[in-house]
Amino acid sequence: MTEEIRRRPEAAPEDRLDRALDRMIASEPAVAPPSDLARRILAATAAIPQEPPAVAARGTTWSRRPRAMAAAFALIAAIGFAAGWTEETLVGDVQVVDVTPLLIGSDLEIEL
Amino acid sequence: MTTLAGTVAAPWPFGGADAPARVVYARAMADADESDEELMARTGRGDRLAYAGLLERHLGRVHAVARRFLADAAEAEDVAQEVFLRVWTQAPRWRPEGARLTTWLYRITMNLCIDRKRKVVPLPLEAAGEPEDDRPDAFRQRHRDEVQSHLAEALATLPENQRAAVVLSYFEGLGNGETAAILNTSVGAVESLLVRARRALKERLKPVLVDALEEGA
Repeated sequence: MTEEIRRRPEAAPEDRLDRALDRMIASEPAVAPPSDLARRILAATAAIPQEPPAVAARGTTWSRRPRAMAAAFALIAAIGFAAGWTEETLVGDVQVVDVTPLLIGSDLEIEL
Repeated sequence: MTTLAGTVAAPWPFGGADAPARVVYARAMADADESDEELMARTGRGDRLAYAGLLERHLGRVHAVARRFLADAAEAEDVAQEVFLRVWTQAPRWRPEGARLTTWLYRITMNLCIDRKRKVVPLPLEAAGEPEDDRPDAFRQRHRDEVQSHLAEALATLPENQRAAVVLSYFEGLGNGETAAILNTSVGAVESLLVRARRALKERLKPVLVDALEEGA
């Protein structure tokens, strides 16, 4: 059997090749870093400043939660209307500046 | 620690940047009980003692992965240094959410290795030559070196993702789940990579493996 494998390597059974490969990998010696590498790294980083911590975490969090923001706005509006707000309180008094002509097209009779 | 304490003239702030590197490194040996996350949090506050603790704990595996993947000692040292430079600079921004610290370290290591592999044109291993050795066990040692060199050459021919999977799974002994997290892929994809890598390694190493079978017979 062994002689046959030696003459024709393709005749080697897969499971035996698998085991031989596993043994070869397992017999690889452990790789250790040079003994002074840690100290060299420590010395090299001594003068290097750290990056500042991430800022505006709260703003970032809110901006990533559009549904939460919409819900909060709706809650504020509901409380406001219950307290007597009117629509003008929220979106402004449409009588003060009527922008409708600007939205639907030019109107020569508009008085600014 | 006792012997080192006498080597400095005055006490320094614990973790201050002005402490001698070897003293900081030696003191970090005592921090073995702290978790990676605790050490990383302290490192993020500029604590060099905690940083030395992380170095002591993880430098070996980071270096080993780079060494296996790149098959070059000097490149592996550079990668290890770059990885821990990032640990130091980015520690204040690191959050212990999701992946473990080791997963993050391995991921940085693999990315840096792949970047370097794409830049460096490797010299053929034969170019290095081998000095003669007259020791009685020289033949056995030389045979072992040859086998290792064959394995390293075969590894080097694998595509990057297959090589990374082999290094992490077979040499580092990581589970497929962690390997998948490091390589940013699925467990199924890792299994597939390993199957293809084994097939390619067996094909390339078949003469060497057959020799090994004969020796074992």
